[in-house]
Amino acid sequence: MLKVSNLAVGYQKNAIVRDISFELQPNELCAVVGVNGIGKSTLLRTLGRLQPKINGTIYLDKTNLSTIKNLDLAKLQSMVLTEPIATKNLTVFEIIALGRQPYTNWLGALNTTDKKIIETCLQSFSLHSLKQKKCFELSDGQLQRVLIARAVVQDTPLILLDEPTTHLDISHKVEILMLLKTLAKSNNKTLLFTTHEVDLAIQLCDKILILDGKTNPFGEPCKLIENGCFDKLFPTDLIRFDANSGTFKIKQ
Amino acid sequence: MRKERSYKFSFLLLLVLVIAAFVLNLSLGSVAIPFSETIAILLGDTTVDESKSYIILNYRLAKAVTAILVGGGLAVSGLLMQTLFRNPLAGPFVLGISSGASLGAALLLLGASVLGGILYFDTSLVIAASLGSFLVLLVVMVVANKVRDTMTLLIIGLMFGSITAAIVSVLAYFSDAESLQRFIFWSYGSVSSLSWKQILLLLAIVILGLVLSLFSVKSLNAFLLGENYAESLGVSIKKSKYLIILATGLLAGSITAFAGPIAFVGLAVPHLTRQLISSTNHSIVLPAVFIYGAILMLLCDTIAQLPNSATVLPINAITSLFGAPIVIWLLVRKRKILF
Repeated sequence: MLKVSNLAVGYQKNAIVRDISFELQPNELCAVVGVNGIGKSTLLRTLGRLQPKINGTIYLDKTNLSTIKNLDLAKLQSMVLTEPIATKNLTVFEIIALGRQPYTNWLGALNTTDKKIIETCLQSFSLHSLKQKKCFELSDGQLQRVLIARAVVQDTPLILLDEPTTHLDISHKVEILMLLKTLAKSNNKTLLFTTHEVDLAIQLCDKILILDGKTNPFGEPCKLIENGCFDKLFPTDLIRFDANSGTFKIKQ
Repeated sequence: MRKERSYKFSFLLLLVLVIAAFVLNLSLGSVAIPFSETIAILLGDTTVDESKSYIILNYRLAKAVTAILVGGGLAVSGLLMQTLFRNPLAGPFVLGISSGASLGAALLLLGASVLGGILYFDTSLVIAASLGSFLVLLVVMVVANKVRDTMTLLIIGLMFGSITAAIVSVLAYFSDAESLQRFIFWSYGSVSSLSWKQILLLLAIVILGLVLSLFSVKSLNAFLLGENYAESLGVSIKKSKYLIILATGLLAGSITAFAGPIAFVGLAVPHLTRQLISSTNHSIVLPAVFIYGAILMLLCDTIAQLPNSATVLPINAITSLFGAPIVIWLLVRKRKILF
């Protein structure tokens, strides 16, 4: 579905992280982990073509990313970003409905198919009761669900999410991650998300990409644990990785 | 479904109000013409006094049509600016577009006497003012690409206003009384000085601007989420931005050129419309904003005309007198402006 080789990402020719290579199959849920500032969001923005890559190749569905037209790309991948929605006055329905834009006519009018897709999505995300709520009335957890729902109605095989669990309490974190898992397994989607919840990612994800600025290991969580890839993830003496439980412990 | 019907009701209300304001505007003026006669003249009755029918058809009707175009067009350009910059305080005035038009007009009207040699004709004022507003708009866009912070952008817009005012006063200092007077009258704003030929030209430009706005509806809606989201939805950011700027420049530029800089309509009307229609969808908001702007302008012009007296107040003063308190009231009541 997504094949990345020797990718370097950064700003204005300065790569912050290079030599990223990985490949995602359909139905896979993959997390990108790494310390703050290593370039997780930059990688995601580059994959979403919101900023130019520095080097390397990205293949989406066997096509070179840079040759795909804007509108076609919008039908292949959707995004959930960390930036706040610009207009706080949008209702839940309006935000989600905007996900249908790549398919609507020149005025952006919704036809019956669009409405049906939105309706189904509202049901399955249990957002129906919030339909007419304004964006500023939502809790962080609800808003995140709405943003993911928006990406889902965009009906793309690949969804990129930037830190979808930030600002949420542990139960909502798990709720969102389980939602992503369900999307990958039952809705036939490939999902790539950045996160700081390494232990949750280890438990849930099919693949993990560790950005460490050197070898950037990628693979199944248990393989990565076996190879000791998480031990050096955080360059600090304060915590250590416990391979048995797959979590980080405070050194005492 | 209840939602959609309530929009139909809102539109019906707006349409009724605009017709009422239109007729009211036509029936009031310096010469008292009974309401029944106004209606009769409008319906093509030729038995009414000829001078009265001349006043209605050639003066008041032209003025009312201009007011509709000016009010509606400025309101739409305000809406476009607010969405493009995702800032509730954006509008043709705040961002310096009107100042740009003033500069263009000043260079033509005042500069002609200073520099000499520039011919003053019917459409040259329009061209100069439009060019001025386009210039400022483009500069604002370039700056907007560099500074993402919208607060900074607004301050920059205000600075453009100061620069323009300074250049205008330098020009005014050196120009002769006659052209200075012409410029000052232009800057008071007026919807009553246009001939039918000029109105047709304004109509054509406003329609062009509105058509461009309609073609921008989809990208405007996407911009509500933010630029990155818009891009991920397949919107070509650059193209849409330029289209929106072109539409705003055409609307605000040509209107300011013909009717002078008219304050507050562009800023206030989108907010007033949001009180009536809660949707953010531009295909609903845009026509509503146009009609609302037209209503407001017709009413302001009716007031400016001071019924049954020969005095005409500058329309710019009226829109500010009514516009500013409305914006303050909105801010105080809602504590913050959402858009």
